[in-house]
Amino acid sequence: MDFSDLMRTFIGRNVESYQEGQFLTGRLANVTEGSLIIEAIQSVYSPVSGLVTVLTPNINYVRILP
Amino acid sequence: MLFLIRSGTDSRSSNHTASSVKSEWPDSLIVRLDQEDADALNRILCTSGEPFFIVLGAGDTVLPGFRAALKQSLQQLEPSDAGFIAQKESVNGVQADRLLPPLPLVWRTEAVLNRDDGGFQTMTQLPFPSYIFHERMLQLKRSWNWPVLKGLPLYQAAQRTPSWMQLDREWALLAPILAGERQAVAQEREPVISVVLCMYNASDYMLWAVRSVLIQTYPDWELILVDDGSNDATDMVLKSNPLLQDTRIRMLSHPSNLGKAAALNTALACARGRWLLELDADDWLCVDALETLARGALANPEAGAIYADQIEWLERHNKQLVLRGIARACDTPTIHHLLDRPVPLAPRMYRTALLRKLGGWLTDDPYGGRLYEDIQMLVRVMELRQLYRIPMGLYHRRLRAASVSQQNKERYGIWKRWMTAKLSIRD
Repeated sequence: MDFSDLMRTFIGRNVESYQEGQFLTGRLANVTEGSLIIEAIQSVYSPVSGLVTVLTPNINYVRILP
Repeated sequence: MLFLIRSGTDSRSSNHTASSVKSEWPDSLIVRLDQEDADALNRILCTSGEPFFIVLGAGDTVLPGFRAALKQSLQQLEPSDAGFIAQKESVNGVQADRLLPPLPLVWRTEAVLNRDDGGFQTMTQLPFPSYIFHERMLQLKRSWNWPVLKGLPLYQAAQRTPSWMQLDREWALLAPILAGERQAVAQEREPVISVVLCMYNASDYMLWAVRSVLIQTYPDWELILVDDGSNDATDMVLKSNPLLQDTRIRMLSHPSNLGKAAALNTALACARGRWLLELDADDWLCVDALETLARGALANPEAGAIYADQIEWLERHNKQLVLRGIARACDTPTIHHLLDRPVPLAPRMYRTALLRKLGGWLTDDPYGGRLYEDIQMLVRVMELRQLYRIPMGLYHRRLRAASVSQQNKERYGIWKRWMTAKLSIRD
């Protein structure tokens, strides 16, 4: 099981992703080979898509929230 | 002697520091701070009975001879000294980079505890616990001295911070607030800006917001607090906190929760300022926000409302705030643009007379004025007057997963249809 396989088991969970110089929190929406797709908090009121793609090599670590 | 070891990135560095203290000062009391918990810290200081205490960073090393050298240094302190800062030795002639100003090594307990709100600021007063020592140092600086002493047998380790925290940018944004001085007003002045802070169960957040108003560089404001039927500790905080003892602050309350629009209308009814600025209870202002907005208002006499950019902070699950960055507002929004992409504009400062002409905030929308009341008022103002943007970050906005706006996104479509119909009827 590699990192992407492991992360797939947490789809739907709230996560925190820590990258170099950047922090992101939201719901893990999808995992592809080489990236995580996170539905991040958006400052806009309407339910627009706030999907953010984070490239796996840029990730220092991910915290799976309870 | 009481030694406090600040939290570090791992427990090993903290253990190392504690071990070096024990070797040099076996009868010392060592407290390791897992997090900078001000409540616990203040309790320890109140009961320690020690006139001074020492703050070390995790990873620091107390070297042989430290105890004797420290005792000698304490004897040299003047009564007006709050303690002292130990100058960090350079390594190979190069001074280690510091993103933050150095913290004092020795603190006078009496100085730290001698404030109206008692010692270090708790999480409800200062939502950045990692800065409680810096805040206290900066505040004490106004009435006490912090001499810098050299040559103590102490190795001070570089404090590592993960890059995602953007510590340099964070410090640049927070330092003016941490050092900010409450501006005293010699005599009653007519307010130009009425800052309105409506709150519902926001006792954990509101004091930081209030503090950001009290330290404004612009003096001609009033602050109207409206408690919209909270059932948490808000009432107790409002009645007892010394921060709120200011003639420029007025407190109003609803017996039950009526919603944001109703609370704003309550404030509008008694606002004395020519301009009315909304401040959410979980947000805060930059220290020069009112001054800059007031200048913008003077320069744009036809504007119906003035707005600026906002600095966004993401709230982590443990309440830690992480800087996201500056969100630039749209420069020339139209009514349709604002309704189609409803990004909150903050700060927003309305012309009070215009708000009254419009009859205040509407409460007959599908959600009783509890949602999107800011968009409602902005589009109604835009029907009559222009908005003017100041391209500067003047407002700090906390993005919380649990906030009302984050929890109700699916309702926006229904509200937008109502708002659009309302505007069409008027046409």
